[in-house]
Amino acid sequence: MADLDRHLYDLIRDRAGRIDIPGGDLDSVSAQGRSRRRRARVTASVVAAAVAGSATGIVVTSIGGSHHPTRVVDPATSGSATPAAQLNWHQQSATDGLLMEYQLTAPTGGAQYAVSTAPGATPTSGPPAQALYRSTNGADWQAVPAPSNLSVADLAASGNSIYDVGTGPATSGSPAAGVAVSTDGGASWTDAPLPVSMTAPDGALTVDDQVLRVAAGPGGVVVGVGAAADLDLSRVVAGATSQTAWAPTVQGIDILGAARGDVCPAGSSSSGPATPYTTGSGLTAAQQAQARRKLAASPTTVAGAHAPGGEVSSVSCVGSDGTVVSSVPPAQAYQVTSSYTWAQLGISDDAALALQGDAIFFHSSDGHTFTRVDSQPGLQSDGLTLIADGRGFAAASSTNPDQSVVYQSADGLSWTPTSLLPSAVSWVQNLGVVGGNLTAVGSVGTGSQVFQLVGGQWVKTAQSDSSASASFGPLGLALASSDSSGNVTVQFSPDGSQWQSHSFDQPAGAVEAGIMVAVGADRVAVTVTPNQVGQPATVLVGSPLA
Amino acid sequence: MEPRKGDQRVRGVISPPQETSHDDQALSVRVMRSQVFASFYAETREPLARALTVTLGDRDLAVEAVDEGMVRAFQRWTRVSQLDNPGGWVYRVSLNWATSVLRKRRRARAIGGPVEGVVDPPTAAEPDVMRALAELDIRQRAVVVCRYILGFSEAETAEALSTRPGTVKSRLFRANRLLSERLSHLGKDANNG
Repeated sequence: MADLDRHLYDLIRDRAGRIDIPGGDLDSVSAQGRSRRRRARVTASVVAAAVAGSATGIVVTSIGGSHHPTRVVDPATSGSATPAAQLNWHQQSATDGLLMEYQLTAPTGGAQYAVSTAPGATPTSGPPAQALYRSTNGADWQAVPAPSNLSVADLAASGNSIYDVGTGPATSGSPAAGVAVSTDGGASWTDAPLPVSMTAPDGALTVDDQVLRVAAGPGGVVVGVGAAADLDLSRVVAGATSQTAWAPTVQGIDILGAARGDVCPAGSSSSGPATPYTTGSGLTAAQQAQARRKLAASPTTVAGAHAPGGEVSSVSCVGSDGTVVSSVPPAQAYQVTSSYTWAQLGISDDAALALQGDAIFFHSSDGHTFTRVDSQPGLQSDGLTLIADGRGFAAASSTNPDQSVVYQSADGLSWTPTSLLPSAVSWVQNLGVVGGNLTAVGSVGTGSQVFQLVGGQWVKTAQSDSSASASFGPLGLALASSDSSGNVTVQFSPDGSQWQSHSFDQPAGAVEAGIMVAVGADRVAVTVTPNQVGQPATVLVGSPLA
Repeated sequence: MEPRKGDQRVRGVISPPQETSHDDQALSVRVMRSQVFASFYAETREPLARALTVTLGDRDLAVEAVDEGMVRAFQRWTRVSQLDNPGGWVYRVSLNWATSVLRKRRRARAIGGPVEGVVDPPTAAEPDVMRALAELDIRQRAVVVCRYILGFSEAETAEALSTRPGTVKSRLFRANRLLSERLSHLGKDANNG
């Protein structure tokens, strides 16, 4: 551990240790817990009865211990409309399911391919080794030879071709991105190099993380490269040190000076290195009065004038409750003392995009020769997702601060933003097409929500209170999540608008390590891996009722 | 970066219950269970509340959330007590509950203005440190808190936050990078001091 890290975490620990916590009331906690136990027993009976009498067309299936026999409620007998593709569930061999939720794709022929960890294995620490797997039913997976010179990050399929994008051996200190193509089901692979050019003066650029995405369809193959890069300013600007504050721009970089002040709404302070703030107008009189009280009570939230230096990508105005009120461009929050273009600094276009957080796109019409596409403003590296949507392509990424945007492209060359997703969506987990509509599964708080693009607007059609694994497939869209007791809920929709919910009592015990759902042509398979190392996974398979 | 030996760890270490002379076996089991929970509560409530305060920047909300998490732990104590890390379970449940409350507050503020009763972030002692922590998103902050305040291993942190160990690593890497950038001046102090 570096001295700074050690000192820093000593400070954090010390600060946490000095927070005064008011005394608790064990008797009250116990009484509430006992009361809820009694209530839960009553509620369980009520839920079962309510579902049986429901007119919503929801099918509830349980697979659990012997005290919870499998239960299927037929909407037809409860007088409701019958949604398409009701699923009948069974549990099968647990040793051949995939562990982690990674990328899935399904080329022509009904098979699915996944990049995942070894079947049924629970890693004890660190990122698990990934491999390429093939399945014809979403539940039984066989290893497929992967490109030997590529660590696969994402895959896509079109016709009989499978496309892997990944990183190869490092060149000039950063891993090289590339594509491998197979037309024989993964038996053999052909390299298709990506013309990425990240160059900078020696030692100035460090690429420490890359997001790689690939999509394939009738319009060709598109690859998105999102690189997280760091610039050592002292290597390219004479006299610059680690204390020099700077901000990347489209043209180059701005060297930042003193804070301008008066850039944040009343009652908020900035999260940047220095602390521009204001107590001026912008809020109602009552809000200003409250802000003044808070500021007076806690002057250190606005008193900082220290600028430790480094890159300043954005400045957020933080409200007194800790939430972000607004964002301010660095050049507006601080005086700009000098500017340099990327060319003056000797930094290539791709490296400049990486430093700005923008994704780099490549297109191929034949699947083998890729060319750079003009950068797409707003399509950033963070949270990059990319698919072929039948008509063309769709991509999603997160912008600052935490606003996810979905773009569409007919040709993979130029992109147009759709209407904004709700601001509560932190990032888009999955994109796909069901029911003929572009559909996004977004992460909202600690849960997931499903939105469909209908008439140019995103419409929420489903949600999961806890973060869900999601999969698009020929049968539809499925989400699988678990609660804190290990119970699993699968929500399935053939079209993105009508939903069925299926619940399972602790299929992998009280705590599971991971859930992966795969939607195939004729079934939905949910792999639930237990938390205990060495224990086999449980695979829940749902097939449409005959 | 690993926590140092001797770091405070929240494990929910279960102390042996005191013996009871009650004749009724069922009641005896319940009494022992309550005593074990009482030990867990006494040992972990304050550390968890402090950790959650750093995560959320709101002590009152953190305390309320941990109390809610403790109620749920009591409700399911037979199962929770069997976990390797019951404290991690309470941290996750409390964090989920608190973020849900924050979402509701944001909606309330958008409609009706600021919500009363929200305390300021804990920035009194080392404003630079706490301000830098506030720059992390809540998921990164939760990883930092689990690893360096609660002393969880990577695997335990992943379990507590319902995420993959690889995700813990990457969030910690990004958090460390940002904190190191923002607080590089403290390194000088440390080296000089």
